[in-house]
Amino acid sequence: MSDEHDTTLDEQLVAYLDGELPPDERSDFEDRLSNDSTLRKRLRQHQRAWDLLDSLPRTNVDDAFARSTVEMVALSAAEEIQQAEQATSRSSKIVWWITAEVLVVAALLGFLIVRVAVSGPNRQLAKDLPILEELDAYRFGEDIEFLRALEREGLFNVESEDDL
Amino acid sequence: MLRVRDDDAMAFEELVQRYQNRLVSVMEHLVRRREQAEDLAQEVFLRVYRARKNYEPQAKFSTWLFTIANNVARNTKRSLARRREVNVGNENRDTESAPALEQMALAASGLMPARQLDKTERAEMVRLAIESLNERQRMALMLAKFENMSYVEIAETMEMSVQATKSLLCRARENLRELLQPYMQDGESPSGNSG
Repeated sequence: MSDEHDTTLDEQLVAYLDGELPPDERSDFEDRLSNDSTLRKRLRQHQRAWDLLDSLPRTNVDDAFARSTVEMVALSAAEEIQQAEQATSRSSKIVWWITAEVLVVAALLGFLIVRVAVSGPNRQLAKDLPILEELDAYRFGEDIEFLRALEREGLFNVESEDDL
Repeated sequence: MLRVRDDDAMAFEELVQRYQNRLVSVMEHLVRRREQAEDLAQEVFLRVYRARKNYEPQAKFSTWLFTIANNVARNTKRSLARRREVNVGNENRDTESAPALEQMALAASGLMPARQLDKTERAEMVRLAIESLNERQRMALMLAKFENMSYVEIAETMEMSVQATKSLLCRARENLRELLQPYMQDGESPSGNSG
């Protein structure tokens, strides 16, 4: 209980010295301070110890520090740029190869499709099928007018009639 | 810093010049060796440069700078501790702090001549007292004293809560008071003035 109390009081004391004590706590603490000589002594000791920190020598680095720091950063930046360029170059090559491969595959596919579509062996047969089916009839035809007359008579529509 | 963010090289040099002493000073108190403090300060500036595009103007630059410094110092300490564990057979873990504590104890026991400490001696005593604090207490103390940071800013820099910062600073200042007590007679500093 006592330790906890002391810790809280110490925290208040330090916060008071640091100007971090909330206004309501500040006025209570100042009241207590005015009535407690031990606390006042402790506060003075804290303040003196704090002030003693000012006796530490000021650090002064020479001009070479800034220069070498900037050089080091410049070197690092140059390396970064080089790495970025290498990465860009690598990715450009990869894109180029992928594009080339896609084009070759597309060309091959196109060639195969056209080949199948144009030069398929059964395609012409399928196209000529209606003529082949009526080839015997065509053989008896003397001229085109005769055949047209037969067509008008419905001689070539046997399947259609069957369907009906 | 906004000019640095926009890749202004001159601005970066200005920024280094403006903060180099403050940064090296804090680093020196954390790692105790000047050369290493300068190396670490350069590492901090390098990180600042690399992270320049992430800088938010809302954040106070010094808070951002010392947050990076705190992380760099912490990582270095960890690396050193790991290396020390590996070489545990070759050196004593407390060799760094032992002389400081020994000298402080010697001084406190009254074996030192009872005379006014001159400026250099006083500075050395204060330096030893600070070195006797743990790393977090030292960092908080440096930021409060020499960077005039508020508790909120210290909390942000050291990535901890404001209440934890308040407790940390309280312990740091209480330890400092106890360590320097032998050099203050009834609240008076050895030189007879409060600095």
